Amino acid sequence: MHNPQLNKDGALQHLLTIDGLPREILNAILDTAAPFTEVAEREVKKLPLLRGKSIFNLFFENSTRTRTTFEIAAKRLSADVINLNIGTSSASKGESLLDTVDNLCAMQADMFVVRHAMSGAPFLMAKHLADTRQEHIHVINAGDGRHAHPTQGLLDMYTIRHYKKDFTRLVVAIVGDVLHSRVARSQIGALTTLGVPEVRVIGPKTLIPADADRLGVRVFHDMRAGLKDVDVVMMLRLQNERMQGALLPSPQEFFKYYGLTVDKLACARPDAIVMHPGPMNRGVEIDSAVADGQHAVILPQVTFGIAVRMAVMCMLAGS
Amino acid sequence: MPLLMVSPRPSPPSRPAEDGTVLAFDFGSKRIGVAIGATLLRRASALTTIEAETNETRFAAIARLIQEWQPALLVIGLPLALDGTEHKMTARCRRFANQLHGRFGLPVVLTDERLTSAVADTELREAGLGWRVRKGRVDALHPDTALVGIHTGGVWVAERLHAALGLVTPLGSLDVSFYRDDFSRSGLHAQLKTSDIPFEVEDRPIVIVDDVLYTGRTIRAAMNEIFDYGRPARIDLAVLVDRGGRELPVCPRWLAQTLQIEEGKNLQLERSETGVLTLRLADA
Repeated sequence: MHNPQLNKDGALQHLLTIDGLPREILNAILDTAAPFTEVAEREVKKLPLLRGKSIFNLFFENSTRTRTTFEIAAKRLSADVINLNIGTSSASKGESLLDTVDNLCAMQADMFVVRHAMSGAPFLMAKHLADTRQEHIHVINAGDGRHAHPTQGLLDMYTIRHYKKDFTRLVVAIVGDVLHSRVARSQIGALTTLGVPEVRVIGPKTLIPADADRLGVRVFHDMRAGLKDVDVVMMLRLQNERMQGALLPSPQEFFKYYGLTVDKLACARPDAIVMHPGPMNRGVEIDSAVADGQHAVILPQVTFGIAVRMAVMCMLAGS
Repeated sequence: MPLLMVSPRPSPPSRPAEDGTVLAFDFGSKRIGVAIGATLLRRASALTTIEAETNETRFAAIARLIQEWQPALLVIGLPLALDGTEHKMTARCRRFANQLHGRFGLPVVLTDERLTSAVADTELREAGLGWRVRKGRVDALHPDTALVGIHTGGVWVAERLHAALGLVTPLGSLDVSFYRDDFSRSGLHAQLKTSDIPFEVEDRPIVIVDDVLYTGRTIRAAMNEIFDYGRPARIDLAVLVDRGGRELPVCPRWLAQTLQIEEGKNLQLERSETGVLTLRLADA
């Protein structure tokens, strides 16, 4: 099947989802990201690679952190970054997504970083660019609905590789609101592609997709059983804004059963790392003692995220 | 010694005369001069002098040289009287040749020294003008000088130079991929290395070290990258081989060899598992 993310030479043209990307490309992104981590330690934190390129951050859904890290990544590569807060602009005046894209293409855009509440919106943009013969313009999915958040998945993989080196002997648990989480979907895709032998998801029945086992994961509803001997704990944010109806009695009850505490973490391996994509709800999915504790690698995740996004932008622009 | 030997490809032992490194000895009872040569360059240059106290220290020093350079052939200059007759030193030299052959199992060739002494004199004078890091030259470098090798071949050369010069500033390395001027044409190369500048660049004299100097674009990229770490006091360039074909006004301060290599060929430094450096000429 044709993969809309790859060009005819098999190189990465857009980054829309981790699904369907071969292991070689995932490893190439992680390998490329490694030297970018060093740039942050320089006097001049800037590389000339994307000089003269215009990158449009199209955020149809609010996100300060992801937009900021994309912006920093683009600026460290010397690109010109234009932030569009669509919530307060043309979309609210009734302009369609593709009309917005056409207008920005007329402003000589080179790359779009797009976040949208609707799953598939970045695919629609990529297809439109192909249909209008503008293959030189690239799309990065910065989160679409419940579907995918590939750069988050990749930076999580970079973090795991940094601390654990080898994917092929790990037990990884993803904990919390898997149902609404595009992050979880990207994480599962990346972990299985990179050869992690056991991926677990832990959460209440109402927040785990009914067909989760079809993704190749083991489902646990008891957190202590699910955390037993895991090497990596990946916490998810409880996405209150996406919940409709009575999925949870209360945040307090969620914390009691699925909040990561020092006590529950003791079930994992002694050298386990704890990750969180942010922003954290302290006292809901994670206890402060864990979030600020020695197992947490949550802030390094943010730092690595810049390098991974720089790598993705360079690989797209150079394809 | 920082001098590097070059040969077209790893030499099969069966063809020592055509391929590979040659170590040549100028035998004397107090000291032995050693020179090194290879067929790609078709020239030899002085390598070191062994001050021989005893037979054992003498052969231990020779063993180290053979281990380092992996020669395929040993050549010994045979001292003869001017009229070509043998004298006392001739016999001792022949014995030395037999000992070398017996100890190291390498082919040994004796050659009439009278014919080569004039050539050797020229070589030494040329070497003095070229890139020979002698004690005097070491003193001429500012003590804060830092070497920066360019991945991958330049780092290998820089490692040897760094050790030979006894510099205190740790060795730096650059992967200039992020500063190349052909990114928009060919994208990023695979196998990126991380640049590592483990010293303060501000106001420091820096020597960029690379294996082969060609268009000069790599050196331009390296200089741009260094300036993103700070403002150096000065930047010099040392290269193993200048193959011509410059497209930018770049000139090395230190240079071991100039080679005329036609366009479309790729001259590349390679390193074996034992650390022997070899220049390979291939079709690009």
